[in-house]
Amino acid sequence: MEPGPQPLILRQWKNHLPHDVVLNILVTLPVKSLIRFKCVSKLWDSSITSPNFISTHLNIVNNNNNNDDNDHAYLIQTCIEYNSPKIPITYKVFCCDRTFDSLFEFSVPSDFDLNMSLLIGSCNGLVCLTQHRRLSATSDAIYLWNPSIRKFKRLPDSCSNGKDFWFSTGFGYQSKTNDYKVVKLRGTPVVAEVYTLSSDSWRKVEISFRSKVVGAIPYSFPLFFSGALHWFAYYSEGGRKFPDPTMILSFDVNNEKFREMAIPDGDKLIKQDLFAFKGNLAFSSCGYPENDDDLQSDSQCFIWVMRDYGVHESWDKIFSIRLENVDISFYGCTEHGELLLYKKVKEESKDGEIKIHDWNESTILSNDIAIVLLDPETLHEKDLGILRYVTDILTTFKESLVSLDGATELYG
Amino acid sequence: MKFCAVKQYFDDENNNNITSGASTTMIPLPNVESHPLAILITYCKKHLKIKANNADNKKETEKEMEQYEQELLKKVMPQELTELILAANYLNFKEALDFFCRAVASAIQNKSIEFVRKFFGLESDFELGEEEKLREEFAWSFEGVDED
Repeated sequence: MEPGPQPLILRQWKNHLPHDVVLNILVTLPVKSLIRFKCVSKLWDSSITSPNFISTHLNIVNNNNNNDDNDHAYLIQTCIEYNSPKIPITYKVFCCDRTFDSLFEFSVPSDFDLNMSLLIGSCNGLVCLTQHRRLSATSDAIYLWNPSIRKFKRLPDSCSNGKDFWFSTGFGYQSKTNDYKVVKLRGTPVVAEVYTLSSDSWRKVEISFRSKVVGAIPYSFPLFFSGALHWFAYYSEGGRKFPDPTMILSFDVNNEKFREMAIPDGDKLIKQDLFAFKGNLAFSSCGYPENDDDLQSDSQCFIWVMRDYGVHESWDKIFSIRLENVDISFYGCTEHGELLLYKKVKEESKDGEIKIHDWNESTILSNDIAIVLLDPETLHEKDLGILRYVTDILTTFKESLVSLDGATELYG
Repeated sequence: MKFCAVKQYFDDENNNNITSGASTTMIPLPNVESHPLAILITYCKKHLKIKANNADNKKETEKEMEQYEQELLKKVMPQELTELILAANYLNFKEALDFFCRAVASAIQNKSIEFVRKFFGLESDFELGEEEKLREEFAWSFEGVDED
């Protein structure tokens, strides 16, 4: 082999890295830098907005989340109440890191009325919000929002707008085609409408469950887990206005099939929730302990995990937690298996100061309400020092470049 | 395997039934200069040494490697990074390539468009008005950028 050195050529391309190497550099950058670097050149603009780059970037963000506590991970919607009655209640959305220490406020688009809206869910950095019909007289608007790139989109109205009393909305990711879907469930018997981002349109989906009539629990929000949306539902025998959930209705976002899953056996308390616990589907039941004295001062929480997804017998009751002298409400669960709870102390206990982040001036402080992280194994509690009026916490949020122009297929 | 391009050379040699015999074989690397090559060799040796010292403890290996990498970055000039990346890319040395790419990413993260163009030797190829349109649409991403 001739060892011919070619110093001239080398010098010429000294600063010219091949484009695939440049992409290797860019793909580890935060979203704000990448959005700015779209202006570097046409090639950079088209590379940064390509579906493959966006997916690779998302995977890297996903993997980094395990090592870097500073990565944004939780989206918190709060209702800020000012001391002055003249200033109306405002809703804000904050993003914070895994330790709940650092956070910043996401600027909400001005055409977007965040008041009276609810967070439905988040997939790959896209957030779905809906304006709740009971609260807003105007419409059932649904929005998709990527706060990291500051783009939002109002969905076209579905057929059911203005007709029904209630519906339950879910948001999921279709991995097969790199697409996103919003599913509206309403009425008894249940009827479903599905919106697909790539086609920007709604269509009805049939639900047929042998001969039984299925009703979904009103005003509930489904859990997106393992490629499917999961609602609490029941078999309707007619009559009951506020039924208890007796089964889980799941909707596979990829093949658009509904299927029934059993809830755990055993005694239940007042309020049920579905969430993901360390990679498994989990079921919680919270309320007042049975056989307690009439004071109902303590709260109790049972948690089951489904060891084998879809298999009824694999429901395993793993926790039975009793908290003294408090009312609790359940927000969700972190990736590390810590429960996010809203806690209201019942008695006049002055157990020291509760640290409050001054996210905005004139907040009302209270010593008896807190948002805590509870480790169900050790029962260790960490007060997060967050304002009390947190309406929702999304634990699956991440920074991403995913655009709302319509999903496009990945290749390769 | 670290220096995959070099390994390929040896594999090719073996396939051609040439006995290499001597422990010192000259491998031509026309696209790599000696300075970045020296740094890469040191990086590779250090990585292997740290790995050997920490046998099964992956976390310790990562921690020590991170410390070494921080020290290394202090001695390397930003301009040298592109040379190192080119060398690691040619040699197909993935760990070093990823590391130096991340180092460049850190260095340019908060920089302006002009800085980045200069660093990569690029020029704007936008049509008239296209760039302004983009800058206006994403004006928020220009906030807090380092002064050139």
